[in-house]
This record gives sequence, C-alpha cells and structure tokens, in this order.
Amino acid sequence: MRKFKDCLGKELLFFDGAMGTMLQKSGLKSGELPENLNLTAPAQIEAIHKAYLAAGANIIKSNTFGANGLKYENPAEVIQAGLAIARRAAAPYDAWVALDLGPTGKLLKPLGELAFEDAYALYREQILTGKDMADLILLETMGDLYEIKAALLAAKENCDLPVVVTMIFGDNGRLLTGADVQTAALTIEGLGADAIGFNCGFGPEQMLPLTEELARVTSLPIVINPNAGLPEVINGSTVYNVSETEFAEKMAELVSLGANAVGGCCGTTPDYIRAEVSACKNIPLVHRAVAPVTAVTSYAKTVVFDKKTVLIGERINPTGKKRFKEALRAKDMNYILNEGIVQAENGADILDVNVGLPEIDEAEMLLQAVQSLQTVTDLPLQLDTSDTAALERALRVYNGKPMINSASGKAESMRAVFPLAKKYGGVVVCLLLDEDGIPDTAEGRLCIAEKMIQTAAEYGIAKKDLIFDALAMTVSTDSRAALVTLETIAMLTKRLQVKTVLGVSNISFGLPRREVITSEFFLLAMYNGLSAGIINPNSSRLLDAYRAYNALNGLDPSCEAYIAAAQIDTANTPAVTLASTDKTIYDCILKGLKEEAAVLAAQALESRSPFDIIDRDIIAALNTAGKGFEEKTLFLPQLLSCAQAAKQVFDVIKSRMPKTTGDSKGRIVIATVKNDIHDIGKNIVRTLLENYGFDVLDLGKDVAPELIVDTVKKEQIRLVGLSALMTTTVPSMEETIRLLHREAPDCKIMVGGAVLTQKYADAIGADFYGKDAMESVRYAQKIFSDGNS
Amino acid sequence: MNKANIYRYLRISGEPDAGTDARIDDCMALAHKSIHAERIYRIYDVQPAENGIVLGDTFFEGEKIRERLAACVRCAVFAVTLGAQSDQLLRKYAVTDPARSVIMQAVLADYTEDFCDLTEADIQSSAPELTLCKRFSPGYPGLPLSYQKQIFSMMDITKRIGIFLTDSYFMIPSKSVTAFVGLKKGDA
Repeated sequence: MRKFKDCLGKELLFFDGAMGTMLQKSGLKSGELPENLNLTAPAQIEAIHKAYLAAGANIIKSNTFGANGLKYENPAEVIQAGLAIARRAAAPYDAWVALDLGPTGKLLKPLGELAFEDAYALYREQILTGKDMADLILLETMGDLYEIKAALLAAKENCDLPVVVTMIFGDNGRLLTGADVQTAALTIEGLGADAIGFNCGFGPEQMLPLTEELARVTSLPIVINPNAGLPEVINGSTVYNVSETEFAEKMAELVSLGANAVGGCCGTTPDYIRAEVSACKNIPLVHRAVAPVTAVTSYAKTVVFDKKTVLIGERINPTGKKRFKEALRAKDMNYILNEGIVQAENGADILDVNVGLPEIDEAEMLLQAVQSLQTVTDLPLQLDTSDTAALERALRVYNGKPMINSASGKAESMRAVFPLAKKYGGVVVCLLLDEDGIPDTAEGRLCIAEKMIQTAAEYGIAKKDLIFDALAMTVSTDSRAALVTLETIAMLTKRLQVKTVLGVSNISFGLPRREVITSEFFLLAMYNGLSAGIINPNSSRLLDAYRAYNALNGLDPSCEAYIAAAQIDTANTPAVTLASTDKTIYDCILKGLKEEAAVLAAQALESRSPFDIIDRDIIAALNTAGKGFEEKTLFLPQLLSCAQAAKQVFDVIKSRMPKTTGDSKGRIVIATVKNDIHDIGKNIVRTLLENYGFDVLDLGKDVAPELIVDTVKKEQIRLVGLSALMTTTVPSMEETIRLLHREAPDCKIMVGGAVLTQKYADAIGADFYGKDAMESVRYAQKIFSDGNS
Repeated sequence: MNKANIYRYLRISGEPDAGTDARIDDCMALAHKSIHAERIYRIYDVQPAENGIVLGDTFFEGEKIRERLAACVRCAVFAVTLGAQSDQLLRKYAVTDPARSVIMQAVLADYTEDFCDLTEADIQSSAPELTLCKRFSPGYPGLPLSYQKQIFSMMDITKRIGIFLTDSYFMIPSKSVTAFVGLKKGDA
C-alpha cells in the first residue's frame, strides 16, 4: 500500500463525509456518545465507512472524534474498536484510515479550566492508543489555536504519523479564540503539521474566500471538508441547504483554488462524496508558489516583517530598573502586565519579554509572564532569555508563532536554540557574534550571518525564519561603531536579502541626552533597511522620528498615523500641566485625577516631607472617599479612581524616599476559590487593599485550597480573603476554610462574592463576611490594628 | 444601551459625577467599536412529560420548568455572547484602570441584555402568530444550572458561537447568556 504522505500534495485525495450525519439518520440522539457504537454496533459503523469508500473516498475518518478522557472512562477501548472497524472497511479498497480527533470541548487555561499540559495529555493518550492502527492523524473541527498546538505537539512527540489539521472558522473570518487564517496557518505550519485546511461551520461556497486566503499564506497541502451548505433548523432538527450537484460544483472550484484533498462534513452523505469525486477527479492539482514571509504571530494576529519597520517594545526587562526588579522579586505580575499594555497602547507591534534576575526562578517567571501577557494583549511576544530551559518552557506555552531572542554564531548557542526553534516554530534573532567575539567590520558580521543561515538550514530552519541583529555598539567608546552597524544592516538587506533587527538604544549608552542620539540613529538604521527596532515605545521623541520617517517614505498613506498621533498629543499634554496650579493633591486624589496628582506630588516633595503628604493628602482623601462610599454619596467607580490616584501619588513618594522596611500595614492573601474563574470582585478588593497600604499576595482565580494553605503557612499570613461567585463553587470555599482552620488556626478568613450572605458565610465557618470591597478594607484595618502587626 | 440601566448596575443613585459619566460614554463607544457579538436560537415544540418537559429530543427534568412552560405550545432556547474580546477588555482594564473595568462591566452587562432583547425580537418575528413569555435561565429558582449542559449539547453552542461551559457551569466568555422563552397562543 502506498504511503499517505507520499501521495499528499502530489495527487488529489478524497476524504469521506459525515459519520455523525449518518448516525443521526439512523436514530442517534443529541447528547448520546456516538463512539460507543464502535462497541455496541460495529456493523453499522463499518457499513457507513464502506458506503463512503464505494462512493470514491480514499481516506476514511475513524469514529473517534470525541473519544477523549473527558467524555469516556476508557477512551482506548472505543478508539481501538473504532480503528479496527475502519481498517477492516478500508482493506479491500486499499484506502487510508485517519485517526479522527476533535476538540476536547474545554477552553484551555489561563482563560479556561483545562491546563495546556492536560490537554496535551488527553491527545497523547488518544494518539498512543491509535498510532499503530492509523495512516494519519486528522485533527478536525478545531476552533482554538492553543488546543491545536497541544494536539500537534502530542502527535509530533509521540508518533511519526503525518498530521492534518482542519479548522472551523466563524462568520468573522476567525477561529473561536480569535486567529485569522494567516495567523493560524503560520502557527500550525511552524509546529510541523503536514497539511492544513477547514472543515465544518460552512458550506463549500463560504469556504471559497477562506481557501483563497489560505492558499496565499501557506505552502502546506490544503484539505477542505465543508458541510453540505449552511444549517437550517426545521422542527428542531438540522438540515443543510446545498444539493449534491451544487456541492460538487463548488468543490471543483475549491480544487482549482489549490485544495489538495477534499471530502465533506455535516450533511454530506455518500451521495455528496460520489458527486464530488466525479466532479473533481480530473482536475489537475494547482501548484502554488508561496513567497517566503518572515512573520510572527500571537493567538490572534500576525506581524509581518516587510517594508515598514516593526517596533519591538523593550520595556519588559529588569536591566537597570530598580522598580522592575522589585516587582519580579515580589512576583508582581500586574506590574509586568501594565508595562506590556502601556507599550501596546503607545504603538509597539511586538513585546520583548525578559524577566531574568539571578535570584528568581526565571523559567517559572517567564512562563507566567508569557501566559499572563497573552490574556491582556494580542501582540506577538519576543521571548528573551539566555536560559535554554526557560526558553523551552516558554515556547511550549506560548500561543502563536513567537520571536526567539536569541541565538549567536557560537556553535554551542546554535546547538541549543535551533532545535527548539524548529520544533516550536519561531523566528530566531541571530546575534552576529561568535567564539571570536564581535567582528569590527560589516564583512566580518556578514560571514557570521552566512554561517548561521547554513547551520539553521541543517536543522530544517528556513532563512525566512531568521532575523539578524547587526549589533549596535556604544558610539561613545568607538566613534565608528554606528557606521559599522549601519553598513551591516545595508549589506544584510541587499546582499543576503534577510531581515534585520537592532537593539537601538545601546548606541547612546554613556552619553547625555541619549534620546537625541538614539532617535537619529534609529532613522539612519531605517534608511539602511532595518526591519525591526527593539526600542522604548514610550519615548515620544523616538516615536516622532518613526512616524515622520514613515510619512516621508510613502509608508503612511495620507500621513494618517502621523496626524492621528499628533492629535492625541495635543489633546493630552496641556491638561496635566495647566490644571496643576490651583488644586491640591487631596483634591486630585479625591477626583481620581491621577496624572495631575502625581505631578503635584512631585512638586510638593521639594518643600514637604513624604510622611506629611501621605497623612494629609493620601490618607485623608482615601478616608473621605471611603466614608462617601459607605454613605452612598460616592460610588464604586469613583472609589476606585480615587484609590488609583492615591497609588500614583504613593509611587511618586516611594521613588523619592529612602528604602524603608515595614511600611506595610500587613500582608493579606486573596484568591478566588477552586473551580471559580470569576475574579472581578477579587480584583476590586485587591486594588482597594493595596491602596490602603496593605501588601496583597494575589493567588489568582481557580486556586486550590492546598495552595492557599501552603502560602499562608510559608508566608505567616494573618488574614485571607476568599471570593466565590456562584452556588456551585461555595463548597470549594467551605473546603478551603475548613483546611485553613485546621492547618493555620490563627489566620482569619474574610469572604465575599455575589451568592454569599452573612448567614451563608457563618454556615461555612468564615470569620467575616464583607458585603462590599470597602468592608474588607475596614476589617483588614481592624485585624491589623488589634495587637502587633 | 440605556444609561439608566448602567447607573443601576453601578449602584449609582441619582446623577453620577461628570468624570464617571464621561467614562461611561467612553466605555459605551468602545464597546460598540470592539465587540463582536454572536447568538444562536432554536424553537422547539413543548412536549410536557412526567416531572419535566421535552424539547426536541432533550428532557429537562423539574417541576418549575414545566410550570413556566405550562401555557406554552413552543419554546425558544437561545444563547448570546459578547465574545472573547469583551473579556479581554475587562482583564486589561482590571490591570491598568480598575475603575474603568467596573464601568465596562456595567456597560457590557447592559449590552448583553440588549442583545438578548434583540434575539427575542428575532424569535418573535419567526413566530409572529405566537406571544412571547418572559425569558428565564438556568440558575433561576427551581431551574438547576445543570440544564446548561443540555442546552449546550442540543444546540452545539461551543462549536457554533464559541461559548465554553466549565465543569461548574460557568460560561466563558463571561458576558454570555442562555435562556428559555416560552411561546403561547393568544395575547399575553
């Protein structure tokens, strides 16, 4: 028998139609598990396979779509039975059997409840069970790029079978979790799939534009298995609105667009497949020439390195930043997230993520930072670490095709990084230095680039997935440094035709008014062809230069971006400076005017002591606001605005104060209990507690009781706040309280959340019930003022 | 969207201060711009059964649901969601601007209600001869949250519009609603 992989992409192949449709026709009810029929009615399943084979399909999908460990106690049993039936049916036709695997039905963490590695384990179990009985693996009806990644890794790490991924897209041209066609294709191709395409959701007509787009962006073979049109519900049951003939005609068009294998999904009976085979079998395969593109993605969007220089935000990096280092030590993820969001809002296209600090567990921190950042921004990330283990863990959980910073021309570095880049599919930043150091000529740096291109090719990494760092050295110590770098960029671009990147700000190290040198150098680098600059997107001077450059070089049609930025500047700037003359810090905090409050505080520090400002402005304003909230003259948004402004002032004061220890009012652990994923209320409580001077260890949502207890014991915590939103998760709260009372009897527990009442809180053994966030603050103040804190 | 509702969600009695009001306007504009809402509904014949009702081939066990649909000949089941983008906005503001996240919560809650109303209007127009009763959802008194699992399965909600159901019956995205709407003959 010929191998599937040898034929894929070389001749037109035919998948079968919809097992589910056929089973529903013979009486399968909604909610019943179709895979059980592999055990109870094998003859029925075999007959369906045979009907499709007789209609001309040469690949059949096993009846194993939902046979995973979440739905079945023993999935192996139904998978083996399903594959045995398929093999039996396929044998006389010399057809291939696809191990058919669908989505788990669960959303992955951090947004959902299924851990990435647990999703991986579910697929691994299915694949290990079926790999010896199948010719290929078909991951189908996949709607979440992250789950596709888990499944693809499970396939690639546990068997040698070819893997086909077909996805279900929505009306908005995106996967359920946000990816457009190009983003999904780049990520999936990077992870080593053998073919890619669409199934379900749409009929062939609606798949035409999607397929056209896919053919433009992927060099992989394309598989299209549409429904028999769009669903219409008649009397509660679903029918599809396209006839066999229409279906076949449209399928022929899809083949002409570049599909390499076609079949069907919901509603496509053997008659549809028969018509399809007859309409398509004589159409010659289209050979697509897809231009190589250097691009990275997040879970939702793609950034292409093309004519316009890409901005990579450099701010998530502790080097030389005291406050950032503090945040890393305290595991203050919000600080890091905020740095990310601000850069995104200021125009960064990609965010560099470097959280390396000698005294912390970098691998764990990088993993957490990457996952958390991906919940608040859809910008692609650049994983920046010299620790290979940390890099691999981050690559594994990253959702999309990342940028990897970096490998150098040293043999050891390439040996460590290239295999990871190949396996997980990233774009590698290549530093042009090797065992002999950094060459001081452009020619020397070019030689290293050539060596790296060649070595990468040996690992199967294409030139398009490399981006070269021409290395900016400080011009204050070597007056030719900038010239060599610029010449290197020009030569890389023209001679090697590769993409380039630069850590731009290094150039001005040791000089006064660094931004002047940095931004002019950035302009020159762009003029020489720079593809991406690692820069500070919060520097308006640099951004001005960038926007002006784009406007002057035909990269900003109608100067739109330039004008838009200029309008935002005029709208924002004067407000802060003008208004700061006639208001007090107290007023500004109370009104939630945080920028103005901060400016005033900075001025006030020249004449007043920090403690005076804390007492007479911050605390006084917070007290007024708290009282107003309790008396219902002021509402939650204002209370929070006020708390945020207070924090801003406090940050200003802290940065000018000698380091003091013990200025915290007390340390509090807060968490949303296990199985509960709502954290709005908890976050409000955290914000208020922090701004009233407490140190808050926020363990997040869906937190296991054991983790809470361990933290309380390890950190000697005296107060814990627990949140639960619904009746179904109050038992988790109760269990956590029971465990805490037993293991840490001195620790007080306050609870809150939509379903709780004083009575309920008493019944589950809580020490205090806070009906709103302010009450939690009052209770915390009481706990820590009683006795020593 | 209705500002009075948004004030109510925020527990603002009377007029809000100008700053809060401006932020509400901001959030409403942003919601309009960035939310991609989705919905799905189906209309079933109501088949009363012993201790429950059957819709399509799904049996909902319970006295309360039978009571609520007692006068109805048909019942629409619908699901709406504001999509993943809505949760991302909320998460982002929870980090950068908690006050705004609270306002956005209220704005999106109202948006969701509007979208439910819109869906009901569609249901009405596809059954013009019948009268819509007040909608109700799993989690209301006497209507167990576990109905969610059946509703998700009967309409294939996850696949069709991207709402996920957790083991404890939470919906993700959080700004999602499922509901039953009874349809009866004659006037309300």
